[in-house]
Amino acid sequence: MPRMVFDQVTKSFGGDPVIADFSAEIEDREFLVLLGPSGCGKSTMLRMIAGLADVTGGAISFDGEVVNDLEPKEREIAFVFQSYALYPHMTVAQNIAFPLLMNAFRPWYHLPVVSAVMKRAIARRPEVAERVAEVARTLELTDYLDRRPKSLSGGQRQRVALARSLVRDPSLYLLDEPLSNLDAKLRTQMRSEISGLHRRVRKSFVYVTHDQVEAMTMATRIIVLDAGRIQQIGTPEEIYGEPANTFVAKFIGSPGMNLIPATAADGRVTDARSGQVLDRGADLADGDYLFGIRPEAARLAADGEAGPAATVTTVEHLGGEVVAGCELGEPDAEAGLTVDLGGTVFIRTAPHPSLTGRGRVRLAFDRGAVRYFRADTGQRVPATRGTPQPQGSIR
Amino acid sequence: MISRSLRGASLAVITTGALVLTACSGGGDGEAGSGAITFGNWQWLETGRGDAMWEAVTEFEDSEPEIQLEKSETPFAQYADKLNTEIGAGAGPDVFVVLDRQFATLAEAGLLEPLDDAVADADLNATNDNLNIDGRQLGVTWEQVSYALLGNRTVLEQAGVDQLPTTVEDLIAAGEQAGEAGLDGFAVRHQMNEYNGWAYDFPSWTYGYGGSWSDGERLTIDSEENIAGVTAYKDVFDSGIVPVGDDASTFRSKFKQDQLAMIIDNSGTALSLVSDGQLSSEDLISAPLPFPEPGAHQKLVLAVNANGENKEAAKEFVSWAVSEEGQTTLRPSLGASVLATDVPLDEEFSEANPWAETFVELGRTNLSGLPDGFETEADPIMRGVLEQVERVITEDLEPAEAMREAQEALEQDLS
Amino acid sequence: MSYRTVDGAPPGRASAPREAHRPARGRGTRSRRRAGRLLGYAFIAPAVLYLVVFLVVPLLQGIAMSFTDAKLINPTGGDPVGVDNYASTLTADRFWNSLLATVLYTTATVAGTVVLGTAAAVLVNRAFRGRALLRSLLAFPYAMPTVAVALVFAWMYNQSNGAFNRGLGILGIGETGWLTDPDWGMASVVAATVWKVFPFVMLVVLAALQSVSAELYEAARIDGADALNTFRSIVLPHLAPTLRIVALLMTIWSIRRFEIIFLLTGGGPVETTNTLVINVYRTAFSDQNLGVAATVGALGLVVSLAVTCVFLLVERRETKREEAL
Repeated sequence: MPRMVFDQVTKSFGGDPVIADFSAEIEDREFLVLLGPSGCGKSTMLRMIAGLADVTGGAISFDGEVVNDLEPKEREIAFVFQSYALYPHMTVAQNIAFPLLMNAFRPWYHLPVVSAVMKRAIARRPEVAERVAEVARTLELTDYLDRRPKSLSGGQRQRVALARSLVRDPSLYLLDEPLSNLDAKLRTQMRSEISGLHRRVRKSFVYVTHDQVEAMTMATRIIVLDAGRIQQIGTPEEIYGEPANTFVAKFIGSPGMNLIPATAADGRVTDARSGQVLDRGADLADGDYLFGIRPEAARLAADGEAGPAATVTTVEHLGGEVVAGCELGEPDAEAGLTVDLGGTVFIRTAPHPSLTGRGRVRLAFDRGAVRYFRADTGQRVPATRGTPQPQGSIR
Repeated sequence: MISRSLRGASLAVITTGALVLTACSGGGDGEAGSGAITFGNWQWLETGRGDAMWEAVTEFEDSEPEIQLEKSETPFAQYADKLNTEIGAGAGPDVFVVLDRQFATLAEAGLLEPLDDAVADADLNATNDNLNIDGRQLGVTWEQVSYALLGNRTVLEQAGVDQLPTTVEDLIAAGEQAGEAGLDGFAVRHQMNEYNGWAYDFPSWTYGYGGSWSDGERLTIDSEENIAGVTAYKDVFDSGIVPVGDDASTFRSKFKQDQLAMIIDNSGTALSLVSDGQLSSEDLISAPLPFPEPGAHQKLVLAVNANGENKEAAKEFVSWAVSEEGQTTLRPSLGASVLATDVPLDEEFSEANPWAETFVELGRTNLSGLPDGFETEADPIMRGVLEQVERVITEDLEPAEAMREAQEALEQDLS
Repeated sequence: MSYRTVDGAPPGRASAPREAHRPARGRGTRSRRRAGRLLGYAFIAPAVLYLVVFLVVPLLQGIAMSFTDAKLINPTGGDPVGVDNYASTLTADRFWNSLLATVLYTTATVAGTVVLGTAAAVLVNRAFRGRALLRSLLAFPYAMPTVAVALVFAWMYNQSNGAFNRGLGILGIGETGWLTDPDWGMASVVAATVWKVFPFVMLVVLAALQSVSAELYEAARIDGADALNTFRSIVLPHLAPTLRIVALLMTIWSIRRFEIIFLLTGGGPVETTNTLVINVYRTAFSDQNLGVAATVGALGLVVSLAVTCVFLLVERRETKREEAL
């Protein structure tokens, strides 16, 4: 049951760094999600934790013990692969029993004949047979024990992969995008099954995904990675509410946080392009910023309410609500079209008659939800308390 | 589907038939005495000697400018098999040299052209007598080769052997002396994968003890004399003086390169050995076989393909070859062998090759290695014998037992 | 396997096209289908013709010849002798020795090439420095002409001057007649053959190995399997179908292999390497007895057909077993 500490872990292939200065401390029994776009190094990180990839620099320790040089099997881990990596020539039961079989295997069993006899004998041992049956029951696989993986559905294969990792009772579960090969409905179901599993086994999980919904719904802690560097470490709420920088702000949420280039002078914040006032009385030094607002914290201004003028460009109906894209500023009446207006601002709100193409609206922002980022570094101002500022992200 | 494949099959049969017919009609008579003829002989490939022999042969073109000779070359190891296959298929060279045992089967099958007219004017010697089958001369002697013990003077001197041995015991002793000097003692053929050559030179051992393969009526393979010959052969191999596994071309090269003291080989080979300049004639010494009786000789026969396309020209060539002019021209390249006529050794040649005299002497007394009365079965007989001899030297089979088995098996096969 | 589609397809799938045809059957369709069928025959006709001319006809001729006393120098002039050739062949030791030699040679060659080829494939499938070089080096023997290989081996096996005996001499071990001692002849020929042919197995197995997903190896590593267990439990089952096919090919090729045996020993020493093919050659060309040679050939054909059938039966059973799970 490890408390994981990453101390300036780096990884490079050839001369190319893939992970740079990865430092973090993760408490026991966390459900840690490594989140990032593809190619950000999250899978590499997971493979280093598993011992499948070498650590180029720095140290990974479990409960204070550096595990850099330990073989995977010595780390008491289970690993669920994206492709499930089920052994195609074994039945479900043999797949689940395989880790136990290998655990009980002694080198001299390799002798001819002995090998086959001992493998059969181990599989029949009560502790092995019962454990397999129990795990199969837990994951509702009892009816499929004699089948081969190729005759199972995607969800069933996924459960066999989980069963195989569960059977050894590891202290750390590593899952590499385990749901990416499932259809949307099954994915939702498996998501809750994995969350349920985490609650039941009360062990540490490290889960790699590029899907923010999975991250937000399952994680107790998220590490957002981009280009091999940690962007933010925090709970799902922190990551969503207090993004450490513009990358996290854009990456989390669908659509992501609106970031409007803005200029602050004497606490007055104006849109850099259309010149309209976005905020007053902001506690900011004069300078260039990005004005950040989540779509659901922006709405249409009430009649008579002040707010920046905007032109609706796109409207997406999501049933109960609408996501509308608006461009700050008013169209030039003579040209007929807007020219060089501010960036598109998405708002998520209740349907409204004025939300049609080319509709002219006024926007209002929930002031408590406004976040500012420095235009030059992309860092949020002021830095969120409680979230350590990752060293790698400061230039 | 079925009818189609049947149609295909009949087409194939027709095609095959046409090919066979074409091949058979190859025996049409070309323009008498003109055109090109092919001459098949493995000797063209013998180092040193082959070129000289071809040069001598093509002197024929000077006397018959209308006829051109073309070489057909096949290494000795494959020569007999290839020639049989070609001639069996109605093809093959127009004129060729064959071993006497192969001559017998070709003659029996009627595949050789009678040469009576062509050789009418020649002064043929007795070596041609058994090439006259039922009153028709189907071949003439190309060369009749004798077997002698040959020594490399340099090696023998190094080994401290001052004269060639005259008995098998002395041969072994001399071979052992060579071995002590770090050289190989003695070599002969001894493997079934050299069957053609081995069958050719092995009879010297059994004949050397007075043996023969038949008495004219029945096979005498398990005779005392033959067993004594095989025993002598086994003793030589048991003594360890033979580089086992060396085939003829290997041990002949070793002999030329002063790595091997003695070989038993024939007059044709002896000439080859000194023809390419590696071994000088003075360093090649010869002696009669180290056995109590004279050995066997083998005959190479010159014959004309009955299915040849230019038989008249081929016969013209044979005429020339046995004429005085031809014999004199061929003599030097055929060295110390006995030829179709009693043309004497070239004087210059005898002087330059003192080893040749032994062969001439031996040629007067030795006997044909063919089984008398079983000439056309010579191959199966030699194969049956040599398979057993191979067992004698590799599996320690008793020579008497081996010859008895060969006798029994062959009697059954040939009955 | 091709027959899987013939009789192994589930009935539902097999009947589907039949049903699809039924409603469409009309006058125009029928003639069109007939034209299509003729076109199909036209396409396979050259292949069929080729097989008939170069395979079926010679085969039938050969079988016919086995009932005659045809000789090499008069191949078409044999007189019928009934089953005499078969009776004499089957009662003589030579045929049975030759069959034994074939079985020994085939078994040893197949085992040797498959084991060595698989081991080499596993070796070069790993990532290491110089792998590409090693791969080409290991594939090299297969690219060499057989005749050259045979000559080089004959030279190395030479009793007095060969590399092997010189090596043994340096170690102070006496010399061996690799190609002349009846106890060693077969082993020497097999060794040369295995050296020449194993790269084929290596290349085929390597291709199969590369289709093993890397994640399977990692899963096995996580599950605590050592290298040998990974190979036996995960890699070998994956290779099994490939190995069965390769073994069949190797068997067929070994039964009919000629050049390397002929050039090394010509069937000797004392007939220990006189396999059926060498036997046929020697009987036909050295003994000039085409009738008996055809007999030995026909019997050899029966043997290789039997072997192939056994392999196909095993393969079919394995496939059915696979599909049942």
